[in-house]
Amino acid sequence: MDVQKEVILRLNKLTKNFGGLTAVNNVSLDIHRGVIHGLIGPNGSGKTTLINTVTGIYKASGGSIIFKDKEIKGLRSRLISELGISRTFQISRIFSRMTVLENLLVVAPKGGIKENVEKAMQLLKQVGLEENYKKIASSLPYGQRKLLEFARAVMTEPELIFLDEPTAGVTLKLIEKTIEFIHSLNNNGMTFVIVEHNMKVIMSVCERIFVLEYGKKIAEGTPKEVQTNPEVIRAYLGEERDI
Amino acid sequence: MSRKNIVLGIFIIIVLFFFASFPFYATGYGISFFITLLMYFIIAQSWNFLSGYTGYVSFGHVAFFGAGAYAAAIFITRYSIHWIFASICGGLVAALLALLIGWPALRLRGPYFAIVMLGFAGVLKNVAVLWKKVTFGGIGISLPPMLSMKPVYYSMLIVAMAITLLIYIVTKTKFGLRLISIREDEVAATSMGINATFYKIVTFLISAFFTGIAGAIFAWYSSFIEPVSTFDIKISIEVIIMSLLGGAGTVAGPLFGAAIIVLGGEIFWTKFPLLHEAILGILIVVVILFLPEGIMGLFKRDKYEEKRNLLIWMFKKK
Amino acid sequence: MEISLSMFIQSLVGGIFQGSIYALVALGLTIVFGVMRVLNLAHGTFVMLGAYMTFWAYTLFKIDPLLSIILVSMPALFILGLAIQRWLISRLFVIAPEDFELMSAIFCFGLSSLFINLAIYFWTADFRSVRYITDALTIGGISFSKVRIISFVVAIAITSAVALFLKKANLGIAIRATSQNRNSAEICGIPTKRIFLFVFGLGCALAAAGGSLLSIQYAIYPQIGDDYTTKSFCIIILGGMGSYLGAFAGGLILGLAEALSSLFIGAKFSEAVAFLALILILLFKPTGLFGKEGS
Repeated sequence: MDVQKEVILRLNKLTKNFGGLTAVNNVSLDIHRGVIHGLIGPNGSGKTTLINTVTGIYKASGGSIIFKDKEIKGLRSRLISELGISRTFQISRIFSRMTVLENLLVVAPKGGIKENVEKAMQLLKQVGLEENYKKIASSLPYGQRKLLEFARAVMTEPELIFLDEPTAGVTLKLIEKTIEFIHSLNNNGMTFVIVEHNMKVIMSVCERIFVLEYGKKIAEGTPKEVQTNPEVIRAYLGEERDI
Repeated sequence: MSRKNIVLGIFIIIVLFFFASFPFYATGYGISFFITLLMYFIIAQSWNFLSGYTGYVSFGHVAFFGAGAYAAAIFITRYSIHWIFASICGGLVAALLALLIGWPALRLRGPYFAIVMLGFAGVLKNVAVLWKKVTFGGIGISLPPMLSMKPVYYSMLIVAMAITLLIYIVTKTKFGLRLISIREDEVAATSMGINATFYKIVTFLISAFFTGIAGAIFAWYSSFIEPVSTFDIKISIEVIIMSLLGGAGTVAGPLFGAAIIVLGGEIFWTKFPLLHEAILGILIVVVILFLPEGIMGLFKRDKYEEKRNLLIWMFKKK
Repeated sequence: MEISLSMFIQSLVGGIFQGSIYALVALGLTIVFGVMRVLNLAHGTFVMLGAYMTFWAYTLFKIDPLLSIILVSMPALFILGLAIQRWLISRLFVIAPEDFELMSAIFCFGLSSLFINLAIYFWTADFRSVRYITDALTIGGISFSKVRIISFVVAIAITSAVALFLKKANLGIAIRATSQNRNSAEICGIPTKRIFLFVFGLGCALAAAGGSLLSIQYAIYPQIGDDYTTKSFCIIILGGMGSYLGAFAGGLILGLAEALSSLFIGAKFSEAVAFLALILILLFKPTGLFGKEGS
């Protein structure tokens, strides 16, 4: 990066154990304000666990999580959300038996009903769901549910959003919509960390990428740097061997 | 205002007028029947407010009914407090107990809460039997005779209206939406900054408060309470089936459910008193399998979950 | 009140005896929960039905109570469990996949209300008892009722047999695999639907065995199982939901805690011990003594 931007979230030697298994192992990384970050790695490399640990769903086993110069390790997920970190889930967790609009209204942190409705409709328009606002959320097709969940995360007025596989199982058209939404929010200063398997999306959207393998960070850098990093290639393709 | 709303409004006014004027032309039997009905309105709505909206199912709501009844009986007999104030005290005692038990239990997942409430009702019943100094154990407590049924009737009516109105208002606000979000997905709700514990505890307290008042008025109305019938698990079962039958998580559902169960009990089951509870058991089983959203679910325009209907049950293999 | 050593030993042994039955019953509950995620609030009801099976087998056909555990009560309740799973609970999986645990709890609550009241209707609410072996064994001046010793041995034998089965037998391993991860088990070719049938049957059969052992020690009545439902849940939460070792240890701990508290504080309060333990464990270690943090 040419200009060093302010660090909004700093993970310092973050570790998470489940019994004997270390899912996140001594991971240190800096998330910069206003930058779209990618978090990649093979299946089971600890990406989702990392998000869950940062957002307070799991308790960290060690290390520290500094958000805007404040230690947030050990805080409950509600407080972390209030501080300004929001997220989506790998398998979308919208409120199924509520309408699309209600899904957004319910998480509005403050403000009267009228302005919240306006704000929610604005967001729904951006993700192309404004005509479905009265529908029951569970009646939406899968891709739209992911977009709704994304919009819900934005509705909590965060400064940093973790997106857990926003385009997995989503049609091409909706992937475009998702990327468009990410860019438009980013233009207004939103910071992103995106976990994704779709390399096309990651390489085209993210400015900075972290690579995890077996819970450890094995590389970081711009998309170009990561793509040519031999460690990363090894992690994804396996060891080179003479046959 | 749409036509549907006008029809609904007129219907509500007629029903309210009927309930308000009822004691002026009814027989004593009629009034006492309606007092029972109104009492179940209150308890079923209270249960619904907690379990229907937050999804935290209480299997021991009779605990608050009994606690309210005992608290009121003790206040009336020991300190000669007027029964209306004693009823409010009964509600407060129930709410206090809810705070004590809800604080540990509501921080956990729903199934744990369900089990804790089941045990809690059992423990309170034992307390009523064993703490003889205060409750007179199995002998029970006799209250001064109740002279007129009308005040009891109207106080039940007012409380039933209050809880129903409260639920209606809450469902129109962010508070209500947040309760439903807890039911739908608590992890997601807390991750989005919703203070689930706070909402659950407040709801639980209100639910216990109203159930306690119903128990307290009941104690005054029946002039005698003792542990076994006051903490009868049957009451817990009945409120669940009433809410489920009518439709848990709706404003009117529990009222319909309560009306059907109380009326049905009066007309039909008095002939088979021994099988009464067995039939309630069958009803729970049948309602869950065939009417998981209750009677109110039948009126829903938006049938978004097709799998929940009878035809599929019959023709589709798992 | 002076508490002599012999009273202490007697209550200690009595606690372990009672605890062995708790463990047996709770094992059934924890297997069902661990594998199927069914919160079986009718578990105590199956204890009651098992007790009546033994009672009727003895009263009507003079079948020896110990024999009837294997020949009558366990098989009968196994089949009942099979039927309930096959025709009712399996439907619940289809109807309420999202909030299955709670729906299953309400459902079983209804089922238990049905069975208890049918029992009252057909068998009356009278206390009944099986007069089996009534004499006592005296060791070092302390007497132990023979029938309780036998019950203890039988309870431990059945519990160990089931533990061994789960550990070693192919079906047992398949059951444990299913409880770890249903989907993976299915992919590996384990017929999970049939496992569920068997597991619910087994759960009911274990409850029934506990009930049969109760029937030779105490008077039985239709609501006798109610306590066992709540206590079994206390035990498996204490031990960690779904943990087999936890259910066994929790059962013994509860038996001892009840016996000792009734000795030192008074029988009045021993009823509430299980509940108190439940609240404490939920406050301080919600995953139970032997449970692991879930993901």
